[in-house]
Amino acid sequence: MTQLPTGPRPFKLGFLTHVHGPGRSAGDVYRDLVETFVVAEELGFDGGWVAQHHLRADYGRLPSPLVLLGAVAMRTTRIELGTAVTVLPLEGPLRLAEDVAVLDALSNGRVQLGLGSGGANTEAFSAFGHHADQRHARFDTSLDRLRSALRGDPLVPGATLQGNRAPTLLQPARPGLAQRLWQATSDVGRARTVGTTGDGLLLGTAVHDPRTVQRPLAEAHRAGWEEAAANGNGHPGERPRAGVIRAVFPAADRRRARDDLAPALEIHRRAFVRHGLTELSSLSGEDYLARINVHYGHPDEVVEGLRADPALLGLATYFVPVVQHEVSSLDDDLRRLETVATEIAPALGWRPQSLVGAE
Amino acid sequence: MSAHTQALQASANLSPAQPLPPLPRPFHLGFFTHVHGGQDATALYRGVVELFVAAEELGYDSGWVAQHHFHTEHGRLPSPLVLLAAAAERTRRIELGTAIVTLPFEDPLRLAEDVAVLDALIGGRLQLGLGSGAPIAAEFAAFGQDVAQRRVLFDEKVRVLEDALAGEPLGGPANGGTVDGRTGQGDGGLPLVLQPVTDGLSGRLWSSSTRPDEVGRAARAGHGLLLGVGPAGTVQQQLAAVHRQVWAEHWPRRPGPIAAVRGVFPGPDRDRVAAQLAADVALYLPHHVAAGWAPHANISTEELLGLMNVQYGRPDQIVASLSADPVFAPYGTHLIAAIQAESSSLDQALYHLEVLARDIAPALGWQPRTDGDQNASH
Repeated sequence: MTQLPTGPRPFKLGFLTHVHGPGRSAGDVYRDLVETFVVAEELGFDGGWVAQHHLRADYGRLPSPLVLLGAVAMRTTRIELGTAVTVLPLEGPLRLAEDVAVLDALSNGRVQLGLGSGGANTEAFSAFGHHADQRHARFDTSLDRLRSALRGDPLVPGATLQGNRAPTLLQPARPGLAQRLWQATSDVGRARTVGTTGDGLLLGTAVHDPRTVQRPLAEAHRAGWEEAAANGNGHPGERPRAGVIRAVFPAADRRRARDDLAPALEIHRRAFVRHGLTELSSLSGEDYLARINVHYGHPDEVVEGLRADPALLGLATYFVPVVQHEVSSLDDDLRRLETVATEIAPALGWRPQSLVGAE
Repeated sequence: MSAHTQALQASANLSPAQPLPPLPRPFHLGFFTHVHGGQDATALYRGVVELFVAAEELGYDSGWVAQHHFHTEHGRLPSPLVLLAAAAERTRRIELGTAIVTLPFEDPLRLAEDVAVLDALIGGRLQLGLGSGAPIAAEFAAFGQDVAQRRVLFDEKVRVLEDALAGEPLGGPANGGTVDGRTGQGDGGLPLVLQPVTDGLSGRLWSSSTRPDEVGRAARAGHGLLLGVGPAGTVQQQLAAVHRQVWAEHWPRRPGPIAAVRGVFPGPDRDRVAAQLAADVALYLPHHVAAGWAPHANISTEELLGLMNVQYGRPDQIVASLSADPVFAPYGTHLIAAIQAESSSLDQALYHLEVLARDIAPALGWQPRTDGDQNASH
């Protein structure tokens, strides 16, 4: 085990899963996911993040992250419960506010709510009666409604509940949640607005190049964040919240990591082609892995790659590795989580929160 | 009232289609809570989870929670499915129900996803009760809806929900999900269907209503009937008869589930329990006057307790009153006991749970379940 570093922690450590499991029963897939959180908490992870996908049969099997996190809340005590992301245009914003408020109360304030406009779920929109090409407009109006509900603004201006004088407000009241919102975007102008609003930015979509796409997004977010702070808004003195998601596949060596990833990459690549990203299908294995930001190999190689990542260290306040691939087993996922928590993240300056006070 | 409804009511006045044997006889015992209490939300919800744990240990078959929106002290749970996922982690066997989900406020396909995930996660223990919500204008306004449309909204949404849970293709004309004539298509051009695929959940739906036409609709769709609101001897008995009749016509192979939802408040004597409950039940008096169930606003606490079908007093008195309950005795396959009044503490609710399971329900023919028992449908 790597010598644990001292000093302030450079980032919180999370993990993200897209909840794959081709051919398995949904119950087994969800039980494994609950188990993953339990183990991750024991390993010292600060948070676990789950992705919401709609109407998917084999890959991306969790349409209801908040229900699942309700179960996780009872099996854990400390680990943060995140979504990365909730597809906001397909949610009723007020019902979503209620669900996250109840989950936040059940979990004693551990919810981190990540929001996206559903670019990876466009085929599902029509089933919900919505136009995919209006998803950004729906995202904006829904986010306004969600945020104002979480802040405790009156939900029906002027109206009262059942003859009572009290205004209609979100219950249970969880105003802190409005400070724990995150947004994913691929638009620099929007990233800046995310910063001025004081929301965290989630980065790491596989096809976004860290240097040419992710770093400009992060810089725009930081500029917006600092502008708000300079104007006396936002969060003066607090680093801009940036969650950086990276595929991390440590193994005994690079070749074995690649062999393990091979069947998943083929599935992955077919999905990219289906979404029109045909240039990816012509890349060699190594180039392809690099193109989609996969850090793999011996833990030392992974650490080296992460140190060289242009949109990670110094920028991420939450480092969120993805260790599950399309056809990986629970045991392999847990083994990789352990390697991340005991070797890779400590080499980057992280250590479990429980050890911070012990120095 | 439609001719169809009148025909249903006329037939309901005839002898029941499938009479249950008289009490004592086996039945399904559940508990129910509206989730009351002024404590902080974390303690409140953790307390509800404790009720499920205690109920499972006592052998209860099920526990049910109500969904209420924007309430600050009484009815504090807007997200029953999130809470039931938590309760399931602390229990192994007990069925987990909603009584009810206010369907007009839900996107029916998102609800279908939530219940499909929950049911898969908890091994098929979900019982999903549905209703159209109390006619409170501000609640509907908060969700951007007109309270006058609540029955229409329920009707539209319940069909989408039923179709989705049955695995029907999504986005077809039937569920209104078509956009510009396109239906949802997944990989390979196959029609999109709900994921995860559900296993028997369509057979675990329930409806709550005070209208015979809606109850007939529920029975045709295979929903069980939750009867809590309205005087048992008039309103509820008629609804139970309609449900039994319509169910027998459409589902002759199995009995229709009918749940009597009853406040059950054991204590040393009826007077003392009535005094304890007086302030709580008084909250419901305006509704009973408005609905025409109470003659005027000056009725006694005892009269109001009667109109609300509350079972209270010594255990033997509750056994006697449940044996004579005009819905539970002739129609009830399920007894779902509300064991928490507005002012009840968690300890009092736990006490009510225990007395019901130990001293009341067995005398009516119920037998506690053990961990080895299998879940039934409905």
